[in-house]
Amino acid sequence: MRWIKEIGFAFVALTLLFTILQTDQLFHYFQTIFLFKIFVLVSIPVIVLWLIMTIRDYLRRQGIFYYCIQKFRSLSIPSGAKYIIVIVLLGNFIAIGLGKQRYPFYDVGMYRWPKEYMTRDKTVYEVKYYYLHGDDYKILELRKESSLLLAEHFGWRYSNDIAYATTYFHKGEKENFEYLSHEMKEKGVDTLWAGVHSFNFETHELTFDPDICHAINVNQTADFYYGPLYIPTYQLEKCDGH
Amino acid sequence: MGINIKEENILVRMEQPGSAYQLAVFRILLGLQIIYSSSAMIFDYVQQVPDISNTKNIFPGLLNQWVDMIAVPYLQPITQVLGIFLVLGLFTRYILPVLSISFLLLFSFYFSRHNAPHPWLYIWFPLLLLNFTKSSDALSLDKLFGLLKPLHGTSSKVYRWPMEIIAAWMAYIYVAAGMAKILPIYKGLKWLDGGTSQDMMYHRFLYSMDFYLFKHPFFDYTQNQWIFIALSIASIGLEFFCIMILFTRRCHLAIFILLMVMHFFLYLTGVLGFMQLALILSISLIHPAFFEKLFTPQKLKTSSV
Repeated sequence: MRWIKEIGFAFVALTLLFTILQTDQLFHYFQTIFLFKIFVLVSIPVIVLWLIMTIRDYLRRQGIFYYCIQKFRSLSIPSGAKYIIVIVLLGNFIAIGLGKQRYPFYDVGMYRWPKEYMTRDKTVYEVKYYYLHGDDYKILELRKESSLLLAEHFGWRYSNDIAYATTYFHKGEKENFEYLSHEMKEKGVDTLWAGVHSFNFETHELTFDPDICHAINVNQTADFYYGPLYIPTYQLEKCDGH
Repeated sequence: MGINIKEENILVRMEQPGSAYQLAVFRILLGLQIIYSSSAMIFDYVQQVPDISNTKNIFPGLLNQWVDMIAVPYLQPITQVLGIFLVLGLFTRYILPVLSISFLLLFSFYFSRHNAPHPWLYIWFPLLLLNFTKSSDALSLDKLFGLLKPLHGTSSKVYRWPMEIIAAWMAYIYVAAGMAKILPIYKGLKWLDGGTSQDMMYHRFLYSMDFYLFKHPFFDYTQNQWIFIALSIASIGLEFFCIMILFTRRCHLAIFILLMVMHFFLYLTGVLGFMQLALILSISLIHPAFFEKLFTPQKLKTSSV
């Protein structure tokens, strides 16, 4: 029971400490936001009290921290491993505390920044590359390609990370298009065009519009995840010609 | 039935009997993942697209320049080949230090160009740890060719501590992910309003496995805030629950099932790549006795008699 209390108190104190450490404009907020000032003024005594109690317990050879350190030191594991474990523990503790990453130490904060909840447009749009296949067209589904069972073009080396990069991270760059275009040419697809895929969450209506001029318009106006897609010059020129 | 933390915690478990087979299975799966990850097209790709990441690492600038300008074409095949050696368990003691260095450098380049934590986050520390273990005492060519002298028993405690440390690594990954979402506290409260989950599920729908397989969303992502709030609370709750790995074994099965459910749901809604890595680390959550029974059927027969 004592350990649970100690862990709980440590969690609260560290959460307060990390909140202060991760506030970029601490002094500005302290001076301008009354509630934040109260938060800091309450947090500091709690953190100091936790530190005093932890150090006191350690010196009295009691408490969870004393137990963990002594038990860890007594373990019959290679000393090299012990040093590595301690270094990695400290490195990651600092990364979590500061909310910053320095490879390979990581705060595991890839989804840390909040987005506001909102009632969204019933229709979601995505501009995607496609190619002509006989009289029909086929969409180049960049993320489906990373699934071994569903892939149609790329092999097992097209893993999740490159699928993420081509679909989102670098979608607006010419080099991304050139890379995909080159890969598709090797598979016998000469030209990639951009079209508009859309889905209505209310009616469940799914459409793909291969109109190249419409794709250019939608690409410039709609709100897209990671911004608009790169549209090749030949598509822009062909559309201008119309 | 209360949990006795003092008797069941990870530091106590490290001194209990382990399984050479469990460690060997982990070594093989980790090796396969390293071969797969280091063979990915991403390394060619990130050299062709602009560098838009703003990431930092612990290595000196000169080393980073060397990796960036010269070493990647060599590091990639070296990591692949040494990964094969790791799977086979051949010259394991000698290849592991080189593989650890080549993996760390190769993925420092990857992270510098492609700001994503998988797969290296799950792998780098367990790989480093294997350097200090007897991971090729079973299911290895080292053993087959007599290149090492295995311990007399396969259930010594020298096989246990690495698996427990790897379990602790798993706890760190998920608890830190939970901490990152709630810190700083004023931002954490905002995170719980479900907006992040909604943004991800709404925008990724047309590129999600759910769409590719079923063509229908689980529900209307344009509204239903309460579902997004519930999903956000559940994900943070589960991530914090993983801290129980450190205190007792009793929650391991529940943690494993819940993590797999979470990763499978994320996989369907457009967050790919984490499930197989979580599965590899989950080997550490299985009791060593299971592997002893699995690989030494005589023991099973004898005990049943």
